Amino acid sequence: MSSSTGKVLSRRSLLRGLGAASLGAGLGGLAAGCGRSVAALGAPELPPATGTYQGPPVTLRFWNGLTGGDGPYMRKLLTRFQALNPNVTIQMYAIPWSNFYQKFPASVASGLAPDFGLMHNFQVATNAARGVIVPVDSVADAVGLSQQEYPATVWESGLYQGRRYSIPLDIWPDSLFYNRRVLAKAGLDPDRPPQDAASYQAALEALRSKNIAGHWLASVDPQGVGRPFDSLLWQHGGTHYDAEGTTANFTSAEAKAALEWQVSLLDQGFSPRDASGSDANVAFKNDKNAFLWGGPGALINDLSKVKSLDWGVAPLPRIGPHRAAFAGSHQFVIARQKRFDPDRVAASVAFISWLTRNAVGWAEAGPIPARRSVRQSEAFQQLAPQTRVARGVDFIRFYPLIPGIADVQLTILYPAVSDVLLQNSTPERAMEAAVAQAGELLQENRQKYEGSR
Amino acid sequence: MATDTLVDRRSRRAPGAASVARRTGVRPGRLTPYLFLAPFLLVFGVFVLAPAVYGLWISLHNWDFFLPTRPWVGAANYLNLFDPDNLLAEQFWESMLATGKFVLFSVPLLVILPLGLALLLNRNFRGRTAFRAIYFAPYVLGVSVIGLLWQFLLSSNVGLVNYYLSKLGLDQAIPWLTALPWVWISLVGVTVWWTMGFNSVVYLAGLQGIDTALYDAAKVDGASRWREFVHVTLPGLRPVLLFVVTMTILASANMFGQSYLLTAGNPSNETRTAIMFIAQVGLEQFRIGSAAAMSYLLALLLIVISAANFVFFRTKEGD
Amino acid sequence: MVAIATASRRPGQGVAANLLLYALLLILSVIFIAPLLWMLSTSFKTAEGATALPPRWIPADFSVEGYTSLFADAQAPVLRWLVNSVVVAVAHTVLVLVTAAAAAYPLARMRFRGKYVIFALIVATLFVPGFVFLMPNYLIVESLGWLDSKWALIVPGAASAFGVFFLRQFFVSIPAELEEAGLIDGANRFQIFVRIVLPLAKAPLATLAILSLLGSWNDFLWPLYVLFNPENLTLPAGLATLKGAYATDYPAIMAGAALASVPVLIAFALVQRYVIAGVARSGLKG
Repeated sequence: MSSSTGKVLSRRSLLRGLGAASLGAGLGGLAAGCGRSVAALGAPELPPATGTYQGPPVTLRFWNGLTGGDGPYMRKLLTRFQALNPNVTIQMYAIPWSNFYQKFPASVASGLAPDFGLMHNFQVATNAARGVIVPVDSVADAVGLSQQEYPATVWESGLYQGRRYSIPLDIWPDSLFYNRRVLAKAGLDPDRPPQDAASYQAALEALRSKNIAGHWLASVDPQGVGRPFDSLLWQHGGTHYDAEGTTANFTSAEAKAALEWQVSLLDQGFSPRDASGSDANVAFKNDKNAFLWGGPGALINDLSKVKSLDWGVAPLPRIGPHRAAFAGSHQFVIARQKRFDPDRVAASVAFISWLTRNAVGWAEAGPIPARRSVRQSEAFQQLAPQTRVARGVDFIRFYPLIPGIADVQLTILYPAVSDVLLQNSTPERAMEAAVAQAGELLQENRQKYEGSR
Repeated sequence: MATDTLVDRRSRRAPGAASVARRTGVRPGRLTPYLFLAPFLLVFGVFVLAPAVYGLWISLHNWDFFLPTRPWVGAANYLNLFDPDNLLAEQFWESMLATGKFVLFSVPLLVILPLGLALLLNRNFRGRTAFRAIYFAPYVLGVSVIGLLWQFLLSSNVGLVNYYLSKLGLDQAIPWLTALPWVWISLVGVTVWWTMGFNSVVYLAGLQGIDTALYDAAKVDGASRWREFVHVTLPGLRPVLLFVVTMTILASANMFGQSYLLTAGNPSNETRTAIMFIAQVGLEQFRIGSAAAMSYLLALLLIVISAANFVFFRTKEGD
Repeated sequence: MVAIATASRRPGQGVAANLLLYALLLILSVIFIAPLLWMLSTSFKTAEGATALPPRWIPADFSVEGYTSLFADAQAPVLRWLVNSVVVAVAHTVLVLVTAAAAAYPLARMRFRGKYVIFALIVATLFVPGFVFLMPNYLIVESLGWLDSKWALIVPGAASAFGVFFLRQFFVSIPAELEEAGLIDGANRFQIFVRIVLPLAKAPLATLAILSLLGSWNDFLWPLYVLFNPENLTLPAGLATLKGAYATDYPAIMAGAALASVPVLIAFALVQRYVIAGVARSGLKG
């Protein structure tokens, strides 16, 4: 279009036009420029709630990222709750997690916030620091939460600056999913998946002798790449960051060992190069891959759908000197409102309280209930794959509780690991760069989140 | 000479029209033209002019959605982008490089291939309209359908593309969406497949606007097909060519959906384009001030390129 | 007429050349059509059949699983997205046409104070890439309370500088005598605009309409960020969520893509002449 527009302009009129543009826009800018700050949104204290609801009819909005096979299970539970509490209607909006952390804070800032939501454990501190969610200590009391009910890691994951911001619902430790048919093909016992470094290596060699790449290593997509690295780092006794959360330890001996093991899978031909998470998944489903490292929330359902597949699950093998597995947790949070309606809060708390006690229905979707009593219940023991995943609960590890930590992991560490696995960079070079970048981001986050309090 | 533009020519003619009005005695009310303009100017003012300046204002502040204060930082958001030790700058230029690569790889193909297609279609044969519609069809489907479809077709182990390549004797599965340089070939290829029809149709209209007498003259001179193309077709297409080149550069520099859906910016941010990065910084991390500064910088660059492009075609015209 | 003239310029074209042309065009057509057929075919397979090799163009395991799981999914109201997209695209286009035509008319046919300033201002923005407005417009839309609503998609892009420029070029070329006739009949400028000028401008208006429709239909980034509720999404933003939700459940993903494509392709087949004519004119001056 500019081909013809250029001809139309005389220099004089263009100059005059630009002058007027800045004037007009300046006025418009003033009129429109009233972006608000979340911190100015008002009282963060929740009105009291008891964990039951007897008030007038309310319609609650519940946001989460359960867009996959897990969504229908949550909806089923909503239906059950609503049958018990006819005065409460809950509208669930499932937004893909990748968009959720953009939309949730944005909705709070613009007064469109839902009543409550689910969030990943590693996003709680970030959003607490932003003031997007409010402390729920009173809710925890109402629900009757106690430390004894939860693994320590899970219990602590909802705390930020001494206050509780979330109620943990579940845990999803990365686990070893294995294709039984493929193992049998290589002469391995499908009932005894390898659980230590030596037997894992032996299994992969046996598979290789049958021309099967036994452990397709996701090298491309950050999520699939990074979580196994995290598990391995912890298994070697390493940590990602120093205690204050100011510097990254990605060049430590432990990190090096973790990376070396991943690279060795590629070098020894146990995995094709340049694979993505979905490549590994599809290969597994087509009996071309023996092992997948992944979370039960995503995989139990997904694999169950393929009827011809014969698979099993066990805790991650111990590759390093310690047992450890990356894990995450979905946790309930309450969005900050300009003004809290006590009825809506009471109804929200009633639902959260009910669900954490009836989390078996949720466990059917794949994740492990966070509360010990639910994990030990008869009903949970009926869920075979889930109970086997639950054996790994004692070794779970979470990201450290630093605001903005997910950004550091996802945008700096994981791409660096990916660079190494894709052979775009040497481990030394990639990790040194990542340490520098992570240091800067950690510093920036500290200023941003702690300065804003 | 340069100021002897259409505006001037047109405005010279305008008094004639006005005198008609005067003669017939129905002079438009003083407000009439402004009333006609009002609806447009309202939307234009609020969503084009105001944001143009408001954005500049934002870019001079540390404008974080979730900070209680938005301190004035002057040009810091811009200067940071030129600080080699700055993380944001590093990532920004990495994304600019991605956009640059995509423009460099895609624009020549999107300019040349559709021209070839248009030349093929610019003949009289049965089914011409149908073919034209077929080549245009992918464009109406939109980027999300295209993204989902090609993500499946290009999947390295279950994709149709690798399957047929293996039938042709290629025994290594190509990682179309996961590794260099294939990711770029995929993104460019899919974009060509998706938007080629659009450019072809624009060319076709240009070709049909060329005076046939020129071709007859070339024939009389005994010009070869090639010479005919160079001396009649190309000069006749110049305005359309300028349009296509300018539009295609802008469209390619705006690339977002293809890499969002097909590669998600992978491998390790190699295909994270500038627009994608700006959106992430501004609307996902809520660092709106920095994002605004980056978009102004990119815009400035694009305006310069468009202008250079325009000047290039203008000088050619002067030859 | 032009087509015949250009085509007849090579009377010596042989049958062989024509056959070659057809062969080439057919091969190209396959490249353009086959992926779409594959999408349809996959949408009628089972999850296992979809990834089975060798690929089967005619599903051996014909199934509507992909569609049923999608329709049963409260999170993927594909038809709702389709309707949202249509509503947004049509409303947006109407707004573009009304505002641009009304603005172009006085700029072409009237003399008034500030005319050149306004016109130059509009033309100057043609050079500014749209993403510059992303951040400020997000904040403006937010303060108007338009986030997560159709207004955010319909209004902000509706001030089409291109539209005004394009229509103005056409209006300028309308002979003054036609307006004069209207003036003699005692019509006011608005009546002249509606009764005389607009009917003459059907072709450029159609072009602008087609370009606006396509632009709104294809818009991806903006709806991705300003819409929240899954039920409010437009087709592009909605379909993008299927990729994450269904991962490698290709029949369901392809069913979603097919549901989004088939109505559009049918509509396109019906009006393709106008669409193509509209796009064709966009590159020509005025």
